[in-house]
Amino acid sequence: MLKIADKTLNSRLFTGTGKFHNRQAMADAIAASGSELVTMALKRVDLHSRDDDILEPLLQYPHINLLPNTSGARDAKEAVYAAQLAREALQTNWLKLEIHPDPKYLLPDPIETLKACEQLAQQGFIVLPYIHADPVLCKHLEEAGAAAVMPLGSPIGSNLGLKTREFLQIIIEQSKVPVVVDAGIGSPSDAAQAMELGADAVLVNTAIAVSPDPVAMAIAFKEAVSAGRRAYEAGLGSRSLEAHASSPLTAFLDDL
Amino acid sequence: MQIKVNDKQVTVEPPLNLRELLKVLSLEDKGVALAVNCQIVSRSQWENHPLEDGDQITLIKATAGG
Repeated sequence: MLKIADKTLNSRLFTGTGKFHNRQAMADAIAASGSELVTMALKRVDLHSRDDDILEPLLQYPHINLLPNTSGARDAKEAVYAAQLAREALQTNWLKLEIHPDPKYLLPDPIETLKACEQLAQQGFIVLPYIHADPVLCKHLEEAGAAAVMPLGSPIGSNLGLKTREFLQIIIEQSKVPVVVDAGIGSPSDAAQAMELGADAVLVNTAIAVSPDPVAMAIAFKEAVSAGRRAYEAGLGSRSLEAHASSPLTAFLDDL
Repeated sequence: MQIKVNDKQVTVEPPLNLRELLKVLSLEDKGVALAVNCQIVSRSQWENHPLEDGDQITLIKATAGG
């Protein structure tokens, strides 16, 4: 069980709603994943082109909590405004704080994220900031009132996995709030590794959404997250360059 | 009167409040948030917020994202 702010979650796999072929595929995959925290974005309504209501297929699952993000915000001011709109639109004070001014790499702006986190926490938001895997920033965000921190494994949608592994380890070791590895997780083995490191949860979107079989991939991620967590709780063996025999090296063959 | 909704010019007949505007635009209110001249108006106040000529409305809704 994972506790973030006032919520207790059974699943440590968080999912996103982007890039799916259609909304039914999205809803089916998210249901199969067992995820209880699901991110979504906000956009301006196009008066001339109505598209599908993304909420409707998700709202049939009472265990799913919505986590709107501030994607598109380029600074703290825009993020706070987007957060307030998100709270009105979705009637939740939970928020994935996301400020990335550069569209090429979508890397988060640490200074603006910290500013926005301080303001939003004071306004009663449950803030989960998306950030680089920066241990010092994570401590500042914790002090600013973040309910969890969401360091990236690699750039959003890159499927490159845990390029920030050593920094994630430091963050996990130091953090007093849950650590959710977000972005870059491209395969179930990446998710399992993050969980084995001691991450409290992972957020996966692209790797599930772009799979030819999103439901099967969602199940694979669910199992990987569960296995990784169990391994972490059981305790992994230490690593060494030298061999350490697991069979007895008795000398009875020396007589031959 | 003339208002702008997400930067698009829209002609509407006054008096009109925000909830009525959604009806005029044939929009559902689920998952939607509104701001008038960059000031967010909470859902509970939509009926009490009359629109004025030249108002700029920002209308947002949930969409797919990660």
